[in-house]
Amino acid sequence: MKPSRTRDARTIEIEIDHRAVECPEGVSVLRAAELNGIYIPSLCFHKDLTPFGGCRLCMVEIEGMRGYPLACSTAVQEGMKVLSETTALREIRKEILELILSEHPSSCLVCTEKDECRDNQYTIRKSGVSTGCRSCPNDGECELQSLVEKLGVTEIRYPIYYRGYEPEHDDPFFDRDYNTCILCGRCVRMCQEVRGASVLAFTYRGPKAQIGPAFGRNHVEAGCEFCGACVSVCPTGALADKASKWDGKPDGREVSTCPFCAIGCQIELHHKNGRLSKVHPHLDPEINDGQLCVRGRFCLPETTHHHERARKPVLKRGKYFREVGWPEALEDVAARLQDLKPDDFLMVVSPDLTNESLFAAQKFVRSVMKSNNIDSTARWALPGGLGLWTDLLSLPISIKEIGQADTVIAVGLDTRFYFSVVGVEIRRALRHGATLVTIDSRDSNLARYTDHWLRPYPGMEGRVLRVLAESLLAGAASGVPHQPGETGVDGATIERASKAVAKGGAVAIVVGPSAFALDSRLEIGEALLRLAGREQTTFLPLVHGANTRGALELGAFGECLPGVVPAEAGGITLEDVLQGRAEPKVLYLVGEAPFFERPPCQYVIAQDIYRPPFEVDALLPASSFAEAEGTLTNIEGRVQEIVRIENLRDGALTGCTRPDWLIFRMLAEKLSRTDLPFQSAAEILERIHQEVSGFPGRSDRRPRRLDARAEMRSHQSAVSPVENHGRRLILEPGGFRHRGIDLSSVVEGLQELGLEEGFRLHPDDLAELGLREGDQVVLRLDGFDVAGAVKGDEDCPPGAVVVHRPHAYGGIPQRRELGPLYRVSGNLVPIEVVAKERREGASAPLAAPKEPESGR
Amino acid sequence: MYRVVVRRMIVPNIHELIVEAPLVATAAQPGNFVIVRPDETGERVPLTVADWDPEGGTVTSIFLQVGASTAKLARLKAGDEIPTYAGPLGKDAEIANFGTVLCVGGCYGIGSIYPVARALHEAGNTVYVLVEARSRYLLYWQEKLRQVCARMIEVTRDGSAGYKGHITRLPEILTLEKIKPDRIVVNGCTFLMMKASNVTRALGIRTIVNMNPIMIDGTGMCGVCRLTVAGKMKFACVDGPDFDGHEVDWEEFLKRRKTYNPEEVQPLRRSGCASHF
Repeated sequence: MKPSRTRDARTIEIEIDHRAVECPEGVSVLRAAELNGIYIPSLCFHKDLTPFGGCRLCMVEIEGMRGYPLACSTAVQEGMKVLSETTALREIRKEILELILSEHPSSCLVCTEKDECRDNQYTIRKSGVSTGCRSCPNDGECELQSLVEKLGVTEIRYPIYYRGYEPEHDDPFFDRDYNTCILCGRCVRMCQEVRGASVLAFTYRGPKAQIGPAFGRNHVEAGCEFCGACVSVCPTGALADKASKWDGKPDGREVSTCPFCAIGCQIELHHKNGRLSKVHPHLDPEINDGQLCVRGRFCLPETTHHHERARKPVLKRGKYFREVGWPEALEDVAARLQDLKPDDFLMVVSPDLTNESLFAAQKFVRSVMKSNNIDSTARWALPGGLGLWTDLLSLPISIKEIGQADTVIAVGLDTRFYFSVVGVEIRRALRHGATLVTIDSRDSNLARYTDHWLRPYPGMEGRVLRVLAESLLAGAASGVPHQPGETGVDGATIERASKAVAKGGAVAIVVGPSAFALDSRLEIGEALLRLAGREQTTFLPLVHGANTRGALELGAFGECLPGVVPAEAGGITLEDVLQGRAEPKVLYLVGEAPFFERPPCQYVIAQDIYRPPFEVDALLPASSFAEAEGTLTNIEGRVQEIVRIENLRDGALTGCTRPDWLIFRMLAEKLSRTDLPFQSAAEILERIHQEVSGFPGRSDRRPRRLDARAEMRSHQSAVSPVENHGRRLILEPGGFRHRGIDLSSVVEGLQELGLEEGFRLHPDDLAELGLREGDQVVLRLDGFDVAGAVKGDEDCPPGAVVVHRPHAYGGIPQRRELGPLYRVSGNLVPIEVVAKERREGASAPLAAPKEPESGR
Repeated sequence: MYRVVVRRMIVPNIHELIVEAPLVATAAQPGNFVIVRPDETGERVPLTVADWDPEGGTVTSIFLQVGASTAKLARLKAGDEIPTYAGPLGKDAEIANFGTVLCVGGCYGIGSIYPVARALHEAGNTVYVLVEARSRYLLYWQEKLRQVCARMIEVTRDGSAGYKGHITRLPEILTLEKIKPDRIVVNGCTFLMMKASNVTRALGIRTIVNMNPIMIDGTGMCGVCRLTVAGKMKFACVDGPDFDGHEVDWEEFLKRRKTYNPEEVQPLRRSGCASHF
């Protein structure tokens, strides 16, 4: 049964257990029962996956059908009569469950002492392989355990068979113990059908059947995105999150918003003993519908609980640093801010701050410091300028509509580790028969799903998009002028793609941050705006930074007041400081650390969840996302809630972190100002509602179009002539930052993947230069050198060296060498690659995880 | 440094560790234990000695992988070296001719009961051995144990071998097997030993248990391994590890074993392969 499009389904009536119920036409009997709150046991069914019929537990009796058809693979028909609970069915189900349990370490499930044993063990035994419930990560939350209870199984009359597989711990993020696997196939189908990564399959056959990547590869080699979808749907403990494997059954769950990117997926936070334990996706129909990416799924616990968290205020005293209480810290900082001239001060705020904290920050700068010097690295996430982005955000932006589109155009986007949920939506569209066209100078996971991969030279994506835009508007592959020599895409390919999109219907256009970063002539923006008036067209211009849109809407830039109202020009920016044009006396960094060395200012304040890697005069510990409530504005304009689940009292170990907006208020009070009288985050949101037209006063999950204002300026960056020869440096925006750190510095799994490390070249280019994987090289740019190791990457366009521009040094030693890159403006810079030293030993396979350090 | 001769998983999650430690091998007695450290920064863990070879200079112990330190032990290979293998420690097991003795072993206890059963057998006792586990595939060393006992009884939770059930069936099993022990020795997890003691109290059979508290120094200095026996405080490392099961304060013991639960889990809250098992 193909999942039907939500807007096409008709409602019909059937009878289950003598009860008349309604359901959409074409769904399975099991889904119909689920929608009506009727329980039919199943271990292999999942609403997003094609039915498998592997577990056989969902057998039902249907009038007019012989035997016991499976509810999961039988489609409903008008007037169908189903019985889900009969004596025969109960007996059969018990028998089936016993068969399943005979190949699972299930002795605990039928032990007479199981209740007392569980009560006597307050902790799960942290075993290497599980041989029973007490040593299984799923103890207490296991579908097998609850089924044994429900069906009343007390013994297993079949011979017990323990398969004896080696547990698999050599991939990051999650462990696998296939001895507990019951071969339900949910993980395989999730990976193949919904995520499209197709990493998992059934290998071998019969009693030797086992789940895993083909050809004995490990997960990294097989291209796993570590989205965790398989782990979330596994009914047993076979797949388990490493970082929360032994936390046990959570005390509770809360729905919140992921703070890592602008999609704003809805997540379910599991907490234990008052602390965040693990994160699962929430079945949110508006945005992510039960899917996440590696960041939201696996990185939150370590980001929140790393032992290096900044938890107490610290002041520099001579050459020492001393932990102090809030009163002393505020006193010190206030003394420095008192009577400061407006231009002697600059505040830099992170695009990861909540709406409330951003608003309070700009209020602090403008009302209390009487300055207009506020800036944000969000500026780097909005290439082309605030004017362009104000226009782009006024378009109809939607993630959900991508799944319903007839034509999808994806520009410069690879959804494996960033914005994965968008990739899932694109696959949903493809399942409904949509046409996909990708425009990308790099190979991407999306290119795999289409015959229309247009591969222009880096920087020419906008030009190609314009051609397609014209075809869309004309409804035909019209004669739009196109120079293949200029764009790098040959005429026939672009003609074919134009014909495909000209068919029209509902269109969704998605553009990734990398494409914007290369688009010096702002042609992508032009193409998108050209289609602004077209019916049934939605857009998704993607940016890094969880609340970049919030930063724009709430005036986190000197020239932009809340409500995207232009302020008088003038004032200093972060760029001025980086380029050495300005040296404010006091620099206040909020969730930002865009320096490798301490900037040349007299007094540097850092307010963040981790210490920056350079010396500061005052460190103010901010609350992390789980410790303070607030809201974030996602790229569609939805204002979504972050929920506070950690309420630890101040103490020696827990420290005394405070929400950013509260720190601003406390400082204002110390300066005897009453401009920030906010008692709660909710109050601030209410105030924003009053001051910023169109901004909701409470969390409001409806998408919003920004009011287009032509007054904000756009600007083209330095135009580098694009030739198809000569080696060029492509600076990709780094996607793993959170506030002032790079997640790889606190999340071990990301560090091992090393996704944004190294200078990437196509293996052919490496060969041409006589380089091997891991060799140290120097990139000679105009005016300075940058050193690092090379990495082979088959996705790279020929002639390009791709480097991820870090937003933050993030405690990753090899990034120190990349410092000079901060000074590079514009993209596609011509460079020279000079080999420095050979790496000893054979070359490593591409994208292999780093060797684990011993004794860590 | 002590060289690892063999480290292998003999049944799921239970490992056999044979280490070259000649001084320990010549002095080991049934009931003794050694304190082991997997590496320089590792934790000290006590492991009961399950066998030894004075000529070869090697000592064998059986351990269950249950946490960070045993995980490190479980990764050892032949030829690796460990910094600490201190022993033999603890009081020797009481060996004399008692008449009929039932030796009960569960989990790692199946290994550690072997030298006790062997010594009792050599002292002239009629030894019966009862091994219990969750399922048949978790039983091991049956052949070794059969050599030193008159009869071996198996008990499994799921009935895949021997009697179906838990040690709580012991009185019934004694009747069915027509065994009247003068003494029962139990080695295994706390729950097993507690349950065994509970059911033998009514039968009035002296039950010796081999206590397994958290230990650090193992020589009577730190006090971490203390427990209450007959109302008095004892150290398991120098007064035990064998005690009368009917006199032990089991509730307090179970609570003390859970003291460091949060700390035990903390090092494992990481997503990288390097820190995981």
